[in-house]
Amino acid sequence: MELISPFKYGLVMLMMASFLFSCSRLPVIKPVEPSAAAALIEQCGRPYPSVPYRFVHAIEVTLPGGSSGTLIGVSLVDPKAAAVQSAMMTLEGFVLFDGAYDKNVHVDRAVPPFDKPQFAKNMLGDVRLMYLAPEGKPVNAGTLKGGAVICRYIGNQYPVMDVIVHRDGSWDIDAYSESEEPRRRIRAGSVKNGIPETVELKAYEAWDYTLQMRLISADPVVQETAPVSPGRQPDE
Amino acid sequence: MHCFKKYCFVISVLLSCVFLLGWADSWESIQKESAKIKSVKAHFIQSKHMKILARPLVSKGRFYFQAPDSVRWEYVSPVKSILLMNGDGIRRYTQGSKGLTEDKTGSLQSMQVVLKEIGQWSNGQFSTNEHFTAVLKKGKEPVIIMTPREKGLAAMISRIVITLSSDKPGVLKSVKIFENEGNYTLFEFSDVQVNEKIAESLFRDA
Repeated sequence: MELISPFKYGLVMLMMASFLFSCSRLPVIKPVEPSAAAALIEQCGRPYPSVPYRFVHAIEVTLPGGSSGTLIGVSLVDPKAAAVQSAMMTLEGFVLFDGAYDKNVHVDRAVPPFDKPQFAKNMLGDVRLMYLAPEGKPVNAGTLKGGAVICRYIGNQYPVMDVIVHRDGSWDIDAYSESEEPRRRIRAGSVKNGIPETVELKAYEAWDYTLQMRLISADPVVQETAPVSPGRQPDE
Repeated sequence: MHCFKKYCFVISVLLSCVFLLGWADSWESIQKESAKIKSVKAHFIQSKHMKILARPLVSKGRFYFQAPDSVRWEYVSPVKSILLMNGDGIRRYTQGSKGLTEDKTGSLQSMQVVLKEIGQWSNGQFSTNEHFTAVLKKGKEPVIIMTPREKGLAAMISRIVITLSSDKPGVLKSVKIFENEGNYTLFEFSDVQVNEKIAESLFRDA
């Protein structure tokens, strides 16, 4: 058996490394000093509400082939409990789906064709991805070429998740499979008071879909049954 | 799309309710008054109530009907959307990221089936409808309560309550569609104008 020379071995490794590097879909993170990392990680928390919130969106759904339709989506997010509730209805108010996630998926109402278990899983998963911060600390935090802040998490809802906060206050959330294939791309823009006016979600599934979301309202959730303090109104 | 088809029946009820502008003491009087209606114009406010919402989600719009089967159901807020029904079929246009674009999902095609239903509704024939049983409750404000006949439809719509104006004979006050516990949609009509001329283009152009 012929032994491979150290030179050839090094060459092969270099080629493999460059091949892997060229195939990687993950953006390259420019490292920062450890002392600066904490501030970056804090910035990566911007996309996520710190208190319970209720969001109402007009959602333009685009299916493969370009066909599209518009629905109304309501999402209730509780970051502390890592729970979400979400409903989707027609413009006429007919509820197509109403479900929740609190470690498990619960469906209160789903009418065909929105009654498939995979639909509930995907829909509630998309809401979680948008509004619930990844658990734990990022495995890497730094900046991108254009100066945006990036934090990379592994082993969360998706094997790899990048949270990217741009200089203009907008952000992206990108989710990848174990083989670094894109699974979800979220682009949040026109951020006012920490809330994006527009959100675009692209899903890469057997049937790709795109959601263009336009904010109708966003309100912190107060204890609706709690007594109202003088001078303060519910949902204020 | 089966659910949407069933939902379309509900929409047809809603639309037809606006046709139901006759003062209602009996099914006969409803039919008699409905036969006089040739066109309707109205504003509407739609309030969606459900547990997940702290306060109702309010939509506003305008409604136009021209006998026998032309309808324009137009939302002006929070999402601009126009549903057009006429002899050529049914189309919906919604304001989206690319402007006002036609809904191409194909789901609205089932609404064409409903057009035949509308003819029945517009004659005030509630009591003979094959999808709902109807009960007329006389009183200061006459109320029609419609309950689905089929189990499948009942799973989505538990009942529909139609209230007629007490002080304006021939004018509809509201339609309330109950889906399940704590989940209903209220449509309230105002500025209802009957048998006024409506431009034909309103039913053709978004």
